[in-house]
Amino acid sequence: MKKSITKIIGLFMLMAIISLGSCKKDIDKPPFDEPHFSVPAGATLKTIAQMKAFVGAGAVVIDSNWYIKGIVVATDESGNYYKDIVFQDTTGGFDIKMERYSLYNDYPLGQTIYIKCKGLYFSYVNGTHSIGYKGGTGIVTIPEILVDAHVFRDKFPGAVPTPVEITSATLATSDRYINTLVVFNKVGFTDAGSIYADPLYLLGGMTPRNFTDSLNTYTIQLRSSTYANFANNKLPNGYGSVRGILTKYGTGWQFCIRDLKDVYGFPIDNSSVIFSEPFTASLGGFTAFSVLGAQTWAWSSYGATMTGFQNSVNNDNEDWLISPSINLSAITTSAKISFSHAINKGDVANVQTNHTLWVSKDLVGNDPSTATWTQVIIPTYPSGANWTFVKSGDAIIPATFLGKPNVRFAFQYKSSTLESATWEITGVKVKGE
Amino acid sequence: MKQITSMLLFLFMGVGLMAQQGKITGTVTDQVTGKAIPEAIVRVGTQQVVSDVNGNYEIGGLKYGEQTVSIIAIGFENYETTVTVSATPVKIKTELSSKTTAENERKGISEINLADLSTEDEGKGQNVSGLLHSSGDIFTSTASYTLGAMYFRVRGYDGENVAIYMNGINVNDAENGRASWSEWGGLNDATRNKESVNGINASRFSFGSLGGSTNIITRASMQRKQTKFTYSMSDKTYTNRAMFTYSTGLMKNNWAFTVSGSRRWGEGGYVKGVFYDAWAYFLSAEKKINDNHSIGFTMYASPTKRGQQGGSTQEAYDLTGSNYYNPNWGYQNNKIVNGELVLGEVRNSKVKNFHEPMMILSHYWNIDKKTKITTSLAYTFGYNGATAINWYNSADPRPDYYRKLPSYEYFISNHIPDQNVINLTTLAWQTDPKTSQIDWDNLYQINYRNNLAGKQSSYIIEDRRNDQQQLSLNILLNKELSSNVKFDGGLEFRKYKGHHFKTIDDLLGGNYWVDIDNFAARDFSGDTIKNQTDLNNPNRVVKVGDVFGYDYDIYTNSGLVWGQVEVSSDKIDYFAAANLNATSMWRHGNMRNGYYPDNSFGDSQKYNFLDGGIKAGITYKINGRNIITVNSQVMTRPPSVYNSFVSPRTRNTVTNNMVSDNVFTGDISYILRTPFLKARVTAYHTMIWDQNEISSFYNDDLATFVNYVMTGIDKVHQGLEIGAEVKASSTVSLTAVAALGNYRYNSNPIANISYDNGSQPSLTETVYMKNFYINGSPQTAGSLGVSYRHPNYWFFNANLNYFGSNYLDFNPERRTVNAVPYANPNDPRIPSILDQIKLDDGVTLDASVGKSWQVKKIYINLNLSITNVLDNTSLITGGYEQMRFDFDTKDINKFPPKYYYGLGRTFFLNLGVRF
Repeated sequence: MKKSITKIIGLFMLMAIISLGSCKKDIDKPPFDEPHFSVPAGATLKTIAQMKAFVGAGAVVIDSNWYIKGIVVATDESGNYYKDIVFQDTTGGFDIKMERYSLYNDYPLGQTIYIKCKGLYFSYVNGTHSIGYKGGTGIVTIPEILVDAHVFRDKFPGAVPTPVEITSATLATSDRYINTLVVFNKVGFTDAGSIYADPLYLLGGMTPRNFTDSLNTYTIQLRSSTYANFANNKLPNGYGSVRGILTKYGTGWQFCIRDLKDVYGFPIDNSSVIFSEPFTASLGGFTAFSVLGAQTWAWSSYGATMTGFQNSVNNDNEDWLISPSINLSAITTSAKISFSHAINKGDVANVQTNHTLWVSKDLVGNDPSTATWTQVIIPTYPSGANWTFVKSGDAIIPATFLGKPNVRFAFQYKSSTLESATWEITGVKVKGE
Repeated sequence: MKQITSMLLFLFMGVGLMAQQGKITGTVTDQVTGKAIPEAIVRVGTQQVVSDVNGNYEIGGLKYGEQTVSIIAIGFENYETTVTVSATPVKIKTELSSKTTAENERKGISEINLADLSTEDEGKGQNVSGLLHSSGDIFTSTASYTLGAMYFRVRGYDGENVAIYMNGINVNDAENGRASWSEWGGLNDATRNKESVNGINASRFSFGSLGGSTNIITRASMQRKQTKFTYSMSDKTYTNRAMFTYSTGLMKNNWAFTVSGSRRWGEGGYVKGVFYDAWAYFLSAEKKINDNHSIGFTMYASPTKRGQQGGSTQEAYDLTGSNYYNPNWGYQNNKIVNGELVLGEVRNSKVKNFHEPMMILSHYWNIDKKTKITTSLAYTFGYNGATAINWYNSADPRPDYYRKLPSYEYFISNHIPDQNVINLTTLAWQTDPKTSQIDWDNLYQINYRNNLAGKQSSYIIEDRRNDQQQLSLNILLNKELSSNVKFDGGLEFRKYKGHHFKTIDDLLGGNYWVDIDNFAARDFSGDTIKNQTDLNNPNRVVKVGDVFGYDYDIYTNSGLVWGQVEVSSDKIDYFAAANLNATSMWRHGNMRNGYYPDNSFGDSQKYNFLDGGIKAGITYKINGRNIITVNSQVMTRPPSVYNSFVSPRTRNTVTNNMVSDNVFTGDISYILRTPFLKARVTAYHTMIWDQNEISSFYNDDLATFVNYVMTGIDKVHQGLEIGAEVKASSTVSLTAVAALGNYRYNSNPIANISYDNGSQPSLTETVYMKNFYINGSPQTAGSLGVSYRHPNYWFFNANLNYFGSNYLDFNPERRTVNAVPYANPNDPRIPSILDQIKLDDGVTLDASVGKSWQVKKIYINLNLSITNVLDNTSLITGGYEQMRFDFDTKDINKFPPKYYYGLGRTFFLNLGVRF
C-alpha cells in the first residue's frame, strides 16, 4: 500500500518533469508603435491648396512624385461618412475615399496622414475636391490593397484643429474652407423635431435638413446618412452651434456633422409634442372665424393661408384661425407653441402687429368674442418681404394655462385697405412637459 | 468454381447434427508475457465458464460437430475459433493479444482520439461520431479506426445516435446528444476497457441507441496490473504525448488503484496554428468489502487548450497553395529588422479550452451468483470555452472574409474589375502573411489608439462558454433467470444545467468594452432599449473575465427505465427490450435582452416529453458457421435542446414543432465463421421522422441576423455493410470491408425565418430538399487490408481505402422558390443554385509497422503508422455552403462553399514500456 502510494507520487513527479517548460505561454503584447513618416527623397510635399489649384475644375490621375499632408478632421466612426475621411492642412481640405470599413480605426481624428498622390485620382465634382481612384467613368474608392501604399500615418493622433467660425459675413468667401472643420454659431434647424436622417427619404442616401442663422440670412443644408448612429435622433429646437465639415454642391452650401457632439449649445428640451398640425392637406381641426372682411383663412399648398388682398384690392379684415381644444391637464411645467411661417406683400412695419398669436382657456364654440384671450409673443417673424419660411421659435404659453383641460390658441390676422400681407403657416406644434 | 463448391461443402459440413456430448478443455495465456489469464470468459453455444487462476477452463455437455469458442478477457482482444467436438476431448491453447498491441497494430489513429481531429466553424464543422469497436467484427473495427480518419460514419449516423457510457453513466451531451471523446482524451490506457454493442443488438448495460453503444469500464479492479509509460510523436495535431499508467490490480488488502496521467503538447500539427496544450488525469480506487460488495470511485478529466482549424473557400486554398490553409491564426509581434519583416509568434484566435472533471462513485453488489446490481452516482462540472474575435463598429478581421479576396473585384456592383487590383491582392495573399492571416499587430495598434481617445476596444477575444453541471444516477440489474434466460434492466436519472455565456478573454491592448449589441446599434440607431444585451444592467463596461453578450442556463431533467430479456438456445437466440423516458427541458435567462424584454429574463415554460421504444432481435444459427440475425426497433425521442430553442442567446422562444421524433430501424445480417474466413453482410434500413434544425446567420436578402428553423425533417438511412477477414496463413491475414449507403432527406421541411431582432414578423417558406443527401460522411467506403504478423513479435499492416458519394452540406435558403425566380424552367442558373454538390471520390493508403520486445520483465513495443502514405491532399472530407446567398445577383460564387480536406501523409510513432 505504502509502496504503491510512493510509486504514484513518483510517477506524478516524473510527469511534471517531462512536461516542464512545455506549457503554452501567453504571447507578449505588441508595443504601441509610434508611426513615423517623412516624404522620401526626391518627392515633393505639396499643400492642399496647391493640389486643388493643380487639379482645377477637372479630374486627373497624378503622375508626379507628390505628397500632401494633413490632419484627419472627420471619419466614418458614427456612420455618417462611409469609406471616406476628411483631412486638412492650413490651406484647405480634401476628402479621400478608400475601399475599407471603419477607417476611423486606422485614421482617427487628429491623426496626421501623408498621401502619396502618384497614381491617385483627384477630382473636382460640383464644387468639392476629392481624392480617390480612377474607376470606369469617374472617381471610386481607392482599392483596399492600395490603401496602405498611399496613406501613411505620422506620429500618434494629436489635437484636431480648431474649427473656423463661418458667419453670414464670411460665408460667401468660404470656398477655401470646403472640406475643413468649421462651425456655425447661433443657428437653428428649420425641421427641428424631425430626425436627422429619414429612411423613407432615400435608403442609404443623405437626408437634407436646413439650418439658418437667426436672421435667416443664409441657409445651409445639413446632410446626414441613415447609417449614422444618430440618424434617429431629433434635430434640436432653438439656436445653438453646429460644427462639422463644409462642402458645396454646385453653388449650394452643404454640411456634414461627424457625430452628435457637433451639435451643441441648443436649449435642453425635455418636453414632448402634445399637439401637431402640419397643414399639409387641410386646415385639420382648426376653425377659420371671420370677425371682419370677406376673406378668410383657408388651406393652400403653402399651408394655412390668409390674405386680405383680393382682385388687386386691399381689404379690411380681422380673421382668426382657432385651434381645436387642447388638454393641458397633465402639463404642469411648461408648454409652448412653435410653427414655421412666411409673411410677404404687406407693410413690413406692421408684421408684428397684424400677425399675432393668442391663447384662451374658456372658449366654447368658435366665436372668439365669447372668450378671454391672452396674447403669446411669437419670438421670430419673417422679414415680411419675401416668401421664405422661418421658424417661429417657441412661443411660451403662460403658466396660468397649464393644467387646464380646454386650452385653445389662435392666429389673428389683420389687414386694412391700405395694406394687406399674406400669412402662411405650416408645422404647428404644441409641446409641453 | 470448383474451389467455391468445395468451400461451400466445407462450410455446411457442420449441418449434420449429432446428439453425443463432448468436451473442450483449454488454457488462456497472454501472448506477450506467456502468463496465465484468469477470469477470462469462455463461451461455447449457450454454455459459459470462467478460466481459473492458471488460465484453465473446461466445458462439457457439448454436441458433436462444429462449435464456436469465444473468449473474452478484459484488457485483451476478443478471440474466436471454431473447433470440431467429438468423442475425444478437444484441447485448445489460446494466446490472447493485449488490446494495446492489437490497437497499435491497427493504426496510429487509434491512439489519437478522433475528436482531436475535429474542426469546428460556427457549429458547421465536422463532427465525428464516437469510436465504437466491437472486437472481432472486422467491419466495425475498420470503419472506426481506418475509415474514421476520413470522417466516415457507420450508417451515416450523427454522434447523437451513438450512446457512450462511462461506468454505466451516460455521457452524451444533454443538449446536443453527442458524446465528446475529448473529455477523456489522453487517457487511452485507463479507458481501454470497453463493452460495445453494434447497432441495435442486445445490450447488457443500456437500452442502447440507433448506432450502437459503448460502456467504458473504469473499475480499478478490472484494470490490468501494470506500470506503463508511453511516449508518442506525431505530426497530426499534437507533436508529443507522454502518458503513464499505474494499476495495482486487486491487491491482497482488497484494494485496487489505477492512476493515469498524460500530457499532449505541440506548437502546430499538420494544419498550421493548431497548437495543443493538454493534460489528463485519472484516478480510480476500488475496495472489495466482501464477496458481495465492492465500492469504487473514479475521477478523471482532460484539461485541454488547443487551437482550432477553420474551413475556408477553395479560392483561399488556391491562393495560399495549400488545402490546409487555416484562417484562424496570425502572427503577433512581427518586427521590421533592417527593412526585413521578421515574423512574430503564431496565435490562433479560436482556442478550445476546457476542463470538465467527472467523478463517479459506484457500488457493485453481487447479490448471488446470478444477480448483480451496479449503482453509480456521478457528478460532472467545470468549464468549456471556445474563443473567437469579436469587434464593434469595425471591419471584419478575418483574413478570408469575402471582401478581402481577389475575386471580390468581380462582385462589386457597378464596377469594372481592375486586373491590377486583382494581381496585387493575389500577390499579397501569396507573399504577405499579414494579408493571408490575421494581422494581430494591427488590431492591437487600433485598440491602443482607441485608448488615447478614451474609447473602448474595437477588437477583443471573447470566450464563448458552456459550463455544464450534471448529476447522474444509474442503477443496473443483471440477472440470470435460468441457464438460458437473462434479464437486464436499469434506471437512469440525470439532472443537467448548462450555463451559456460569454466572457472577455483578451481586450487586445484596449481598456474596456461596452456591452451593447453591435447589430442593434446599427439597425436601431438611437434606440437605447433594443441595443441592450441586459436591460437590468444597461450599458455595462466590461473587462477581462466579465460576463457579457448573453447569459442563460439550459436545464434538462430526465428519467429512463429499461428492461431486456435474452433467451438463448442451440438454434435460436432472441431478445426483446423496451424503454420509457421522461424528459423536461427549459431555459432560464440571466439577462433581460433589449429586443425581447418580456421573453428573455427568468424561466421559460417547461417542455415535457414522454418517450418510449421497443426493440427485438432473433439470431438463427443454421450451424456453428452460418448465422442469420434480424433486429428491429421503433422508438420516439425528445427533440434535442439544441434544436428546440430558436435563439437561446436572446429569448425563450421555441420552435413551433416541439414534438418527439420517431425512429424505425431494422437490419438483417448473415454471419459466416470458419477457421480461415470470417464474414458479415448486413442490410439495414432506418427512417427518422419529424426532426428540427436551427441555424442562425446573417441573411443578405433581409439584411439582418436571422434564426432559420426547419421543422418536419424526415431522413432515411439504408445500405449494406460487408466485412470479411481471411486468415491466409498463420502470419498473414487479409481483410475487405465495404459500406454502401444511401442516406437522404425524405421530406420538404417548412422553414420559419425569424428576425433575431424581432423587428418584423417571421416568414415561412418550404425548403425543397427531399432526396438531398445527408452530409457529414462518405456514403460509400471500402477498405482492403493486409496484415503480416511475424512470430518474432513484429508486424506490418496496410490498408487501401476508398471514399465516395460524399456530399456537401447545403444552404436550405437556396432550395426555395425565392432563390430561383426564373420564368424559363431551362434557365442554366437553376441547377447551379439548386443542385447539391457531390464531393470527389478518393483513395488513401495507410500502413503501419511495429515490434515488441521482452527484456527481463519489461515489455517494450514500438510502432510507426503512416496515414495516407500516398499523400492524397485533394480529398475533401466535408464542408458547407455558406448561409449567405446574394439574392440580387443569385451568383453562388460570391459566397462560395467552405471545405475541409482530409490530412495528407502523417505519421504516428509510439513507444510503450510496460512492467
